[in-house]
Amino acid sequence: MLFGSNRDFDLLVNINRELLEDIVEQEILYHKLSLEDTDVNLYGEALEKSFWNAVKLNCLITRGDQVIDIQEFGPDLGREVSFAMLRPDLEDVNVVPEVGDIVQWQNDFYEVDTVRENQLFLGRDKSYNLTSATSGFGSSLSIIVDCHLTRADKVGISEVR
Amino acid sequence: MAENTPIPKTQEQLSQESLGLDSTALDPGVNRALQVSRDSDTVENLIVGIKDIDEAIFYYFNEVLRPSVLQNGKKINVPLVYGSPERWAAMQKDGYYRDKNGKMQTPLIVFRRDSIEKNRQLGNKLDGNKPINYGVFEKKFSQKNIYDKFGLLNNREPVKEYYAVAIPDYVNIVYSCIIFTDYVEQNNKIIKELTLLQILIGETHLNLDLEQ
Repeated sequence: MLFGSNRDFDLLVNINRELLEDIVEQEILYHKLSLEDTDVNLYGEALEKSFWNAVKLNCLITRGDQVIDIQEFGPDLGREVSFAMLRPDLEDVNVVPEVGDIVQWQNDFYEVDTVRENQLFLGRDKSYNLTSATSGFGSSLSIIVDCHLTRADKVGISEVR
Repeated sequence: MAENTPIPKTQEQLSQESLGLDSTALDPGVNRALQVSRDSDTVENLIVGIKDIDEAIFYYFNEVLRPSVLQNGKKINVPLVYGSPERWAAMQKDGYYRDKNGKMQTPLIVFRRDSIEKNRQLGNKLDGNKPINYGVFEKKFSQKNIYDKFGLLNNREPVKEYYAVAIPDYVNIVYSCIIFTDYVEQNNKIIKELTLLQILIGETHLNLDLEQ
């Protein structure tokens, strides 16, 4: 095979890193729950949650508009935002994005609804190659998490009232 | 000089007066000599709440009924989960019924409480001003007061045992339950087991709405 080797992929990653860290410079804090320290009741809920230390990441942010939904109890703010991160960056800090994680951006907290990993270099992922000829070719480039604005009080990371 | 302020009447006294009765004849108050400090008491008050009832349903499914199906030649216990858990708990904590990518694995039973309403046909605490919230019952015979002639012939005095039983607030709770299976045959088996549940604890107490 000629194209899509690890060297090609590293070049692509370096260019993207430079883009994210030095030009775009959008930053988030990624919070992962400590499952061992958080007890769940029979309803699948935890009133008190424990998190690992937050990790700062550079990413591309696709911001949805603020939407006011008027319910019986009055107007409520909602917002959907997507955060696109480089997969090698996540590997470096040992973070595996999962549904239910919390992203802190601009002092707001966003709960992860979907984790998308669908940008493969040359359409291949070396983790799933079936023959030795394709070994080391292709890689997953990014992980995109779709989130919605959640109540800071429910997350319990910072004191809001 | 201390000001002599009147003590406001209690609701009970006001009720008595409105009925033309003597409010001063009421119980003067609590005898503080009988009160015991519970500062160092580790025994918790017995409370049976809504969560306890939900836990009882959980326990009955998981420990007594134990619904199971055959999947790929293996017997699999059907997990029971409460509906609408938090996202992180459903995807990260409960790994049992999801694969590593988060795809839900069947079989699975999801249940949730639909409604709860007070049942006024069972029990009555009568007067809201003076509620009777516990009843005292005498146990006729017990280990110390055995039903035989031995005690009678030996002039043993009967020992009386009393129980103070809290009168609960009776409620009717309706649960709905959804069964997810890959095959109708598995669904049939679970329905059959749940039908047994209805026979055991009574249809009037638990109605299951079964869906595949």
